[in-house]
Amino acid sequence: MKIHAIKYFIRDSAKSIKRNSLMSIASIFSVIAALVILGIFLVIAMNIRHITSDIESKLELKVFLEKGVTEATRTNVEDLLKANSQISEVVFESKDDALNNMSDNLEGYSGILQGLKDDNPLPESFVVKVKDSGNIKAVNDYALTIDGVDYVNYGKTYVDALMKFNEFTNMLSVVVLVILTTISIFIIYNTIKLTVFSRRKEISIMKYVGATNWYIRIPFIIEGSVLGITGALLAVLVVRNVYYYMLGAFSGNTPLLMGATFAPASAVLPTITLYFIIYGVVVGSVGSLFSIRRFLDV
Amino acid sequence: MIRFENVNKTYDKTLHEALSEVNINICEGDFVFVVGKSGAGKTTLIKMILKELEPTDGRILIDQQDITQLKRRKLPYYRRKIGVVFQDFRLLPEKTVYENIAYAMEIVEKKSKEIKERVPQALKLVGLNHRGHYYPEQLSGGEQQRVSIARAIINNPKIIICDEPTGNLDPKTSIGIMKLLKDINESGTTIIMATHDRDIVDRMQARVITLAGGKVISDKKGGYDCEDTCY
Ligand SMILES: Nc1ncnc2c1ncn2[C@@H]1O[C@H](COP(=O)(O)OP(=O)(O)O)[C@@H](O)[C@H]1O
Ligand SMILES: [Mg+2]
Repeated sequence: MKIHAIKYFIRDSAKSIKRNSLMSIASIFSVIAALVILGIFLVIAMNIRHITSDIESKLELKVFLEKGVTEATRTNVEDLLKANSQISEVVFESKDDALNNMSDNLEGYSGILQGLKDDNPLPESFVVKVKDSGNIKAVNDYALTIDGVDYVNYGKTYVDALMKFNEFTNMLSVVVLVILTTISIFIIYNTIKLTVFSRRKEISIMKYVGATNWYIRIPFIIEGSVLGITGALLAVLVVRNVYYYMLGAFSGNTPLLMGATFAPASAVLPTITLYFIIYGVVVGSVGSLFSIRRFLDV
Repeated sequence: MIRFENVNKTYDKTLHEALSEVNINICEGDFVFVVGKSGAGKTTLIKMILKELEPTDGRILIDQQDITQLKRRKLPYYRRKIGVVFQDFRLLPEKTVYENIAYAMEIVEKKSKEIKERVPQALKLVGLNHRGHYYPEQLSGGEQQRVSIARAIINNPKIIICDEPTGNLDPKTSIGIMKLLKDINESGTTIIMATHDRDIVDRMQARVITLAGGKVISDKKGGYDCEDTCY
């Protein structure tokens, strides 16, 4: 395939799109429709991921020490915790710290709590932050094996539920992606098939003159990709505006759940744009390839 | 250069043979008519030279090469050796006369410089040098057929195959087309033309292969042998 053939390809694709402008517009719109639906799902999935990772990053374990451990044991526990590569931060909380925290949280009872000061029953602990929330269970198990550790608290049920939910949305967006991709490929396939059908005479002439199958396919693939990308870019605009509108309506930084906020537009939109363009090219070219197959057997 | 060896062709489930035990040998530079009534098997024979159809059995040799063994991938390159002209011209309606001819060169990836040189030459050869910017529908049938002949010869094929090229034209126009084909033949191109137009065949006095019911019933130089006397 020589370079100078490219200008013929572009010329023929442009002509064909113009000639079938109504069908071209129709297929661009179906790509937009599919992508806007897909976009909504992606935005939701990305926000759920954003929120869960936001929450996850705030998750901490509390490693409680046995009553009356020696200074040496305590240092040993701290060293062992810090030595674990999955742990990002270890902060010691003394009996007094624990009591102060409790007083802060239970203001009305601060008097009673202050009475405990001399004979503080609260245990000493280490507050541990984990690098990746997926490892929280492993860190829990690890901490329990250390001498001098009484018990560990990490809100097990809560974390598990959150991770399950995250998995579920990931799976759901894959399913939605597959369904919508199939639908859009089918629509583009039918559009291009109409173009191919109206050009079947031309194709048979090309075959008689000795054009290779790839030479015949390329203008159709370009045509399909142009339709796909145009639909994709317009869908990006729609999703972008809807997202900005939504951020505005919820005034952006309003905490939704446990202090998490919407994912910022700068995190969501570039990814979506990239996905959509890839999607447009793939859907357009695969749809074209399918629709032309039957007409190449001359 | 074109050789049919015991070629049979039966279309899918139909019982009768469209071609039966066909043996032909055509040499380089020949002008050959393939004649016979409608349904005799002329188009089937032509399509097999283009490898648009495969024989049910037998061999077809082009330049000593058995094209029934030719890989599908190689087919486009094989077809570039053959120019085709049809009864219905098969020009692209959205392209001008010039573009229709240039297109055949673009497809085989010729340089634009060469295209700009060759297309006007071909137009001149077929007597349409001032019609380049016309669209096919603005031309008469005879002129359209001239365009399709220009397209068939543009890549200098060694063989030109015509299936009823005068079938849609009046006798006077047909004579002009035949003169053009004869000129092309005289420049060394082998021409095989299927037709059932008696006048044209009689006028040319070339080699005539007569088909009836898929069989070659006569193969000799001269006019259009009457099928009645041949049976
Ligand atoms: N695609 C096809 N399927 C089945 N039979 C066909 C097909 N094409 C041609 N035939 C049959 O083959 C025979 C020869 O046809 P054809 O080669 O077209 O004849 P001609 O061109 O001489 O008129 C006829 O009997 C015709 O009915
Ligand atoms: Mg015929």
